Amino acid sequence: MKWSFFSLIFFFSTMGWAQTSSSPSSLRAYLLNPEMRFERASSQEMLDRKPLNIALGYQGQKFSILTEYARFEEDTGNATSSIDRTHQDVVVWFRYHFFNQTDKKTLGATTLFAGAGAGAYEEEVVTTLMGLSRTDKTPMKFMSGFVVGAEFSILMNPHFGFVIGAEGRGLLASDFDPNPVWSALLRLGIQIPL
Amino acid sequence: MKCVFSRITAAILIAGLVGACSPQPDAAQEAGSVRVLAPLSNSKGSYSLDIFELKGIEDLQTMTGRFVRFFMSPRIVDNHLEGPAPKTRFIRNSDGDYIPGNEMTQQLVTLYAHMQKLALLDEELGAGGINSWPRDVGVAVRAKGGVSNNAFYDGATDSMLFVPYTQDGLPIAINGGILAHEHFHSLFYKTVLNDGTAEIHSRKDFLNRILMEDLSARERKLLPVATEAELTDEQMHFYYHLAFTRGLNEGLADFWGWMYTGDPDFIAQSLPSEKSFRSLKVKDESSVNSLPSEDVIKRALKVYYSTGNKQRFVDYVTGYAYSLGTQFSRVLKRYTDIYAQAHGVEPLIARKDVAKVIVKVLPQLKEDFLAVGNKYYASTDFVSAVIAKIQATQDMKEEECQFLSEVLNNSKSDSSAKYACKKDSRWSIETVIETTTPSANEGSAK
Repeated sequence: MKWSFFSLIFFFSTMGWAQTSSSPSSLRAYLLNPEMRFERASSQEMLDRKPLNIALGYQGQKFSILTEYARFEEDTGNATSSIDRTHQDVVVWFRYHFFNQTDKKTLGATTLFAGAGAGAYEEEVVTTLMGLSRTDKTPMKFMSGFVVGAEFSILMNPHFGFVIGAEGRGLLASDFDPNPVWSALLRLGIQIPL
Repeated sequence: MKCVFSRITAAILIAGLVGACSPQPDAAQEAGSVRVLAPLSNSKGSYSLDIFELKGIEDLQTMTGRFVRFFMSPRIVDNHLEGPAPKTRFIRNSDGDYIPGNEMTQQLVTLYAHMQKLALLDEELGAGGINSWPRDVGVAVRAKGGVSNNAFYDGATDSMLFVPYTQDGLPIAINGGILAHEHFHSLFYKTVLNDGTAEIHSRKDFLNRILMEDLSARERKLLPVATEAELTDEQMHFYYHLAFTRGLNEGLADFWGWMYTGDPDFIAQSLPSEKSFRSLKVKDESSVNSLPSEDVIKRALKVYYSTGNKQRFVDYVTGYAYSLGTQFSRVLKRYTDIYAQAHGVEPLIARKDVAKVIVKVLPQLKEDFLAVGNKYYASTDFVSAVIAKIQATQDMKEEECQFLSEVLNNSKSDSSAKYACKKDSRWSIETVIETTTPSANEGSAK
């Protein structure tokens, strides 16, 4: 079922929405990506996790591929009894840039995109009781997501530039609560034109 | 630009559709027996992380099943709990066991596990059928005034309620001893107090309990400031039985917590400040040989009343009930230890045997309270009821007999009566009326 919906997203994204673009292909590294991921906390309230998030990608004229790693922890309990959950995931995002505009004077490029991603996650729980701990881990499990966002990039010279972007995402997996988990992300990175 | 917006709209619609058809968690598909990790107490008074099989699970996502129904921050409406069910978070390890992923889930799992064990224990001890299952349990209860670090049984809703725990000890919701303590209140409520008029562990009482430490301090500070106020006979009769019944309920509940866990300091695991007041362990075990007599309780009430403030007096009575309760629980523990030694049985077996006697005594207590009339139900009446039930089921050993007669002698108000052990075909305790003239001291004590 989930594959059919992501196929649908991909189908829509390849329907020729792209505007004319003059931005070159580039390699991009997003090393500072403040994210807010809203999930149900132990208190049952929706709290935003702030994962460590880094990504590397290739951007063509109409599409980009991005590999992203994220990790966050939730620590609950007290000195006698505690539970520390660590979530890690790797997702490959396929993004279609349906709007591209480049200012030739400033070499700044603006792009709007939508896309889908697929990847895997694992969770580790360290349960501690009166000083004794045990660690349990899930096997790698499938996750997926969808994204819409915008990016602005500017070249400082022919070999180097900066990128800033904002995204809204929905992340899906069998154990996510809520499902999908909604996430907002800012990306700050560098680009190296090819 | 119009085209761009329509595409964004299409993307959002697709996202919504995907969300609606998103996959279900493993926990949503689990029912019946489920293996979970829980911090459980063993019978020797310590806690460990163990894989435990929960039975009768209907929905693991909300921890609903045959034994418990949970309510998150519930309201009380028409004498029942109302509120959403909390949602759990688990991971499933490579062995297929469910591991709680946060504190709330761990508490729900542990509560369920203990209630399942307590249901089986009820059956074993002869208390099956007193409670109806599943039990209603409120977690993250928001009490007026931001009360924290406590749990209580509410007879009106027949539910256990847990407020947030903010200290550094064992959280109350995973403290098996405190859960057994609260569970016992439900047995006492239904077998002894089920006329609906008793206020044991009412919500007000619950709040008073929170303030117990402060009350103790105030008590010491204010006692010297006595007034001429005196209790009428009716007031004395009412407050005497209020304090006695509450004390007995608390004492038996503390015994239940120890019986279940084997830990005489089970309350201090979560509430260290209560250790000196509530521990069932004392340095000199031989000093545990008396219960508060009728005279002692009356004297305490008179002194408390003489402070002249009725609200404070009611607070004192509540605090005093816990003090009485500790004396009951310590005597029962010592009797259990003597029983184990005399019969040569394992401590756990001994604790269960004594618990079986208490289960049998509860309906008798109700009858005795209803028949008390203008008289005063004394600690010796309770001990006599216990002895009668012991003798009805098995032969008393000499050590038991000696201890129980000692308790009777040290707890009576009537100085002319004396209890003594006697062996005919079996050990029993008989009352001997002393005909000698009371001494000047005894006379003045009266």
